[in-house]
Amino acid sequence: METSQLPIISIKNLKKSYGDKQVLKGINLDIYPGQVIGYIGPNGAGKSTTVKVLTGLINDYEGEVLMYNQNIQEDILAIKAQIGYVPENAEIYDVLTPLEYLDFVGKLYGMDEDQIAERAMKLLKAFGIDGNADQRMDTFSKGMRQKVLLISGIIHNPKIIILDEPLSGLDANAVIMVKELIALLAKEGKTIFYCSHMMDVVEKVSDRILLINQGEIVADGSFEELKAGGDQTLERIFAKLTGKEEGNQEANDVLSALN
Amino acid sequence: MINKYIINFILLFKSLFVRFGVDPNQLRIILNTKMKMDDRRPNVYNQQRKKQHKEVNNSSWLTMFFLALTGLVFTIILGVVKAPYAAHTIYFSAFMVMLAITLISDFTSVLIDVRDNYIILPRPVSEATFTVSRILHIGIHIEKMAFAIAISGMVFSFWQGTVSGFIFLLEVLIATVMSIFLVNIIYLVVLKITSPQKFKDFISYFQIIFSVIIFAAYYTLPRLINASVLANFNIKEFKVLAFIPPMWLAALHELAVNFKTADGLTFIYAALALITPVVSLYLVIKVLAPGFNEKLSAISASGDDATIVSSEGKGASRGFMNKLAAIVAPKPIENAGFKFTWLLSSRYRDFKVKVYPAFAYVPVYFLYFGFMSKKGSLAQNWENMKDGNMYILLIYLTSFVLTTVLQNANMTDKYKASWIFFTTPLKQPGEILAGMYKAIIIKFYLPYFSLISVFSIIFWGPKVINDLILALMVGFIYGILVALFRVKGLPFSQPVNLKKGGRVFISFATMLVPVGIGFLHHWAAKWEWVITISAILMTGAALLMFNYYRKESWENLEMAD
Repeated sequence: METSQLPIISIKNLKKSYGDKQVLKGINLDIYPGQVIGYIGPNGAGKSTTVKVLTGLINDYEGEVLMYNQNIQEDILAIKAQIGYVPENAEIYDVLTPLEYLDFVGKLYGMDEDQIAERAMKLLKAFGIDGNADQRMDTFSKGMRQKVLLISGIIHNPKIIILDEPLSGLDANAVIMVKELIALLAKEGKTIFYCSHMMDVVEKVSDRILLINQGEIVADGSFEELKAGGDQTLERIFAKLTGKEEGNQEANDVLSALN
Repeated sequence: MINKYIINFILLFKSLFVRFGVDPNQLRIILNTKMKMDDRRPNVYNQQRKKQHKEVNNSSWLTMFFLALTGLVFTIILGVVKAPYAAHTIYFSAFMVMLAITLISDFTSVLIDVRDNYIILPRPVSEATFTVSRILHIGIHIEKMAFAIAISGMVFSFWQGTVSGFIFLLEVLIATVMSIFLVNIIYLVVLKITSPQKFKDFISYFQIIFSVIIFAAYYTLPRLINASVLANFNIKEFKVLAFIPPMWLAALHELAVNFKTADGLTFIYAALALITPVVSLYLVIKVLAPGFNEKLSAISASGDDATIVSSEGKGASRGFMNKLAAIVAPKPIENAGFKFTWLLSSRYRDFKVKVYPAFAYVPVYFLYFGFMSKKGSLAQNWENMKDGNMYILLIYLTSFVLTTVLQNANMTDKYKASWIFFTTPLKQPGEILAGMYKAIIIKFYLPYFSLISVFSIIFWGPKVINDLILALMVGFIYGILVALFRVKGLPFSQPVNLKKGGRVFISFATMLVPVGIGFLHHWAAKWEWVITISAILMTGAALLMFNYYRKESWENLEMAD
């Protein structure tokens, strides 16, 4: 790729502390257009904090974050306009209908009403919930809400898409569909930042995997590279690098605690 | 849609907003969406609909109707108090307090909607747009309420004269703006100086203190401030009141109706009334708002994960609470119910906000019924109270605390977590309930009752001891009755505000129990031996009732859907 010369996101020595607890201990990272980054790590490793910095939700950090070669703190609004974000905790205004919600989100991105309506309908149809377009979401299942959230993250056709556990609550068919979608979006030149605990999915969708542990990136490369010729699953590599190799032992401990 | 016109009206001031760095299109859609959501949010007045699974529409209009009724009461002050300066000061004090309460109770659902952090903030919305939309949203919300409260006063003022009518409109507008900014500034300042976790606690304690003050004022002020005194009194003599905004507003009215006799002070007050809203707007947007949003996201980010290490929670068998639980509720299931109730009642904020004010209500009720409501001078009533047996009223009033705790102990916003009761092989839920009841008695009722007892013994002498024992036992029995007939649910297992229809009669009947027994007690108090024997009998009855309560079965419980 000729564009790969210029990183779309560039993180330099990013540090962040909450009180005296340092959550990020100097992250250095260059991400190029069209990459699907699988961002993995154990609970509390600093994944969410990284995502919050990238989406502009956290401003007081040390180090530098560049997007399009521009410091994100300079014009965070222009950056936010380029990002699509699907948060992990599935917060949504559930007394609205999907169409009303998408209209709201679309307008915050400065889209016009007709364009939003047209796209929203097409997207809802593609996700198979067009029949519910005018129902309030407080009766929706978790999977249906997640679909609306996914749509609200891509409706403005962003260049960078940040997905935090986007598959939670989705049924098997929807999972296949989203995985396909990620591949297609990447082909279009979108950059995708994919955070998840589901190793098998990360293994399949990402072309570059970043493993963060205790605020530091401990592995960076394609799945092939991480395997380094061995015949391991991502799960195993994850366990090894985060120092929990003896998973077997822990399982045994659990069992012995019951006896 | 009226909402649309309101938004169009606000956007007439587009150029002003743009100067503050607000995107008018985003502002419009945020306001529009927020107002739509307000109309669909179930509230106190339309739970019934929600329960019938009907969609809630126009809920804000129903609220307005009830506020208009309250406003009518305030208007009576305007009519009754003859000195307009004083009347307007009182009216607008009541008005601003009413609005501030509405604002504070709506605060968590409207002003700090934590979902905004995930839905609006990641989008390209500037901090100015976000803050202004938030302020305007709450502004419109309150302005609607203000209109509802003021409508009757407005009619009254226009009936008095066109000038006073228009001045009244101006006063309402300024009073509203000042209420909004007052509360806003309080919150912004608190957010600046405390940590996010403490902020949530602050809001709850603020709500508690506030509701107590309002309650006390409602019962005692009318008695203390005699309307006939007010008619002839010059409110301007009270220099302390100069700091109260309603005073400034009243000055506006005074200027309009008594321009010739107005003194310099009145002019200063009137000027303050006009300047303050502008200054507060500037302060909020330019000085306090920056950084507000980040603080807000910190609130939701930190959530409740702050390490709550309390003395109760240390290990499974250490600490005061655990030792206590082992002694008073040794059976495993009862023990679980006891600890569960004890711990959650100190950690759920919604529970604390609803229950704690009840502790303060008792002395207020006592003072009110004890001597405020009676004819004659206060000093005379005070003497009467000391000689008589008013302590009986006081000790029976404590059952109000017990009822409040019991009624709230089975409700929480997080009621869904109660699935654990239904998936575990719990044969007789009465055992959990027995644990719950013991926890409530020991944690809330006994300490409070002891305090009241010590006070009574000091004040009325040791002859009240047998009365206290009797009242305590009656309290236990009454509590069990409440638990059996009104609060039929496992601890913290039901959604808040679920109206219990069809049992008005029973709840009324249970309330009659302490009242009736209290009167009997009052009547029998002259024979000490009757009280002593009754105390013994009631102790037996309480034990029997408790054993019955412990056997409560699933069939008698109410469960959330």
